[in-house]
Amino acid sequence: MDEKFLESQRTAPRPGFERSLRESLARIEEAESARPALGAGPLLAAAAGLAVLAASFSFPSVRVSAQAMLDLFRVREFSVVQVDDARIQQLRDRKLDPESLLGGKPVVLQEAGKPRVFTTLEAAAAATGLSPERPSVLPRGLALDTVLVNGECRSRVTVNTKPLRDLMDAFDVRDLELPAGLDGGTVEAHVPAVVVERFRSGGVARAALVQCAGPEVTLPPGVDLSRLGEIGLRLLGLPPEDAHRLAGRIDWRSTLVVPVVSSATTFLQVDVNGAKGVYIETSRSGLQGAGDHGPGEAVLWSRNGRVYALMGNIGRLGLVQMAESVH
Amino acid sequence: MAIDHAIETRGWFQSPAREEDWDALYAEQLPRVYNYFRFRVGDGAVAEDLTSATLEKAWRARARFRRDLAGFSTWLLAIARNVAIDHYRARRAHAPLEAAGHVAGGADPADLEERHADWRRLGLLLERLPERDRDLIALKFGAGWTNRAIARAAHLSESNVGTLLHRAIAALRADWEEGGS
Repeated sequence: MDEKFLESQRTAPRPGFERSLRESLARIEEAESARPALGAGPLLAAAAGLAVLAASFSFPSVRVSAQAMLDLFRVREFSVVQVDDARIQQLRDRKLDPESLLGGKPVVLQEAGKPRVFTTLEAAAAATGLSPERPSVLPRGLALDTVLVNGECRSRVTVNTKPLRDLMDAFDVRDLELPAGLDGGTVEAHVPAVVVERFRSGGVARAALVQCAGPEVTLPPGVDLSRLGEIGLRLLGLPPEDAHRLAGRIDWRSTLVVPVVSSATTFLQVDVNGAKGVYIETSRSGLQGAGDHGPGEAVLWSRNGRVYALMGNIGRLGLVQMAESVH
Repeated sequence: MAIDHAIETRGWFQSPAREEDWDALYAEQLPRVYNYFRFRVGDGAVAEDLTSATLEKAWRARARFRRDLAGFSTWLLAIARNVAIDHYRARRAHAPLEAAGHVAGGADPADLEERHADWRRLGLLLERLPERDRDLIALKFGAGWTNRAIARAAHLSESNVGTLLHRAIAALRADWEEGGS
């Protein structure tokens, strides 16, 4: 009996214990980050222009993409719009949220519930009936860590355009009229389950693949989406001519517009196995108050009716390789 | 939506230069905390429960951790020691060390059995130590701390820690050699 003997009595925790503790910490993380209610997030997708706007309020950098993923309107393509920091800060300072912008109290038809955490994709598939895809290429020693599933949700809102009109006045957007038929119209949103696969290495490498089937949004009949999109672009600070030109080029029923902070972000179009995608790189953290956001990269793409976002800190080459291996 | 928060939850994408690498810290510190509790309260389920309680408390409070005030291990073990105190308060007469805890060892069953037997016997002897000595033993041989680190945490001088540990080990050795169990 000596010090050496006592030291030799140390032992590693059981792997099963380590795993369950890690899951427990993940659940704490989820509980901390969960927002109180479904709210009108998906409903905002009803108008692509509004989705652009709403996303920009909260998530000025790569995170925009994650939020936007949940607000899709049959996305087949992505378009990145650079927005200056000052305008995003102005929008944030107004403390607007999707619910207040739409002006109506959303009726939740189906709750998403709390996100569920799994340690394997097979367990997630068995428990949810989903068939999530997975990357076969995992750069820099990444391995699957956890799988999160956010449940399917449906909601409906009767639109009151006054808050939006007030916002247009505040930002001096007086030359455009809101589309007829929007005010008092009903918007319904259906967001299928979202699966997030999180990968980590033994070191600092991290990645997360977000995927879901294309959400569906039903708009009041006859609403001019291009006009709504143009208003959204103007509110994001684009000059009138640029907003008009861009709004006319975008197919608002199939293109997700991703606003990014111009001073902190670079982006380029990429090809992901024949699908047009966009690569976004954030070089610094987001605006003050935006949360704990560091540098990061993301690839967004859509294929066969599903939309994907792959995010991480593994460099463009690694991220694109990983994205291309998702099947 | 919760998912977008989940994707970029703290530490997921950040460079460790900007933010603590919580995952690396977790991997490094978990065995220390777990072994601290093994030496402190026993093996098996109790040590695991208290380790979980400590890590969960730390995880919830991680935003308040300040490296300029304390090293991560110091901060975490301070939480662990409080958890141990709470545990003893809640259960004044705590259960003896579990008889068949998880003991790492070679693949040889005989070797494994010997280690199990050693640990069982040691556990019973540790129970006889005064509370403070057992805490010091747990910090030293469970958490793997230096005397200096223990001295800072226990508000003792380093030499005092050395002396107390020396006496505690001597007491254990005497009991061990007497065949106490």
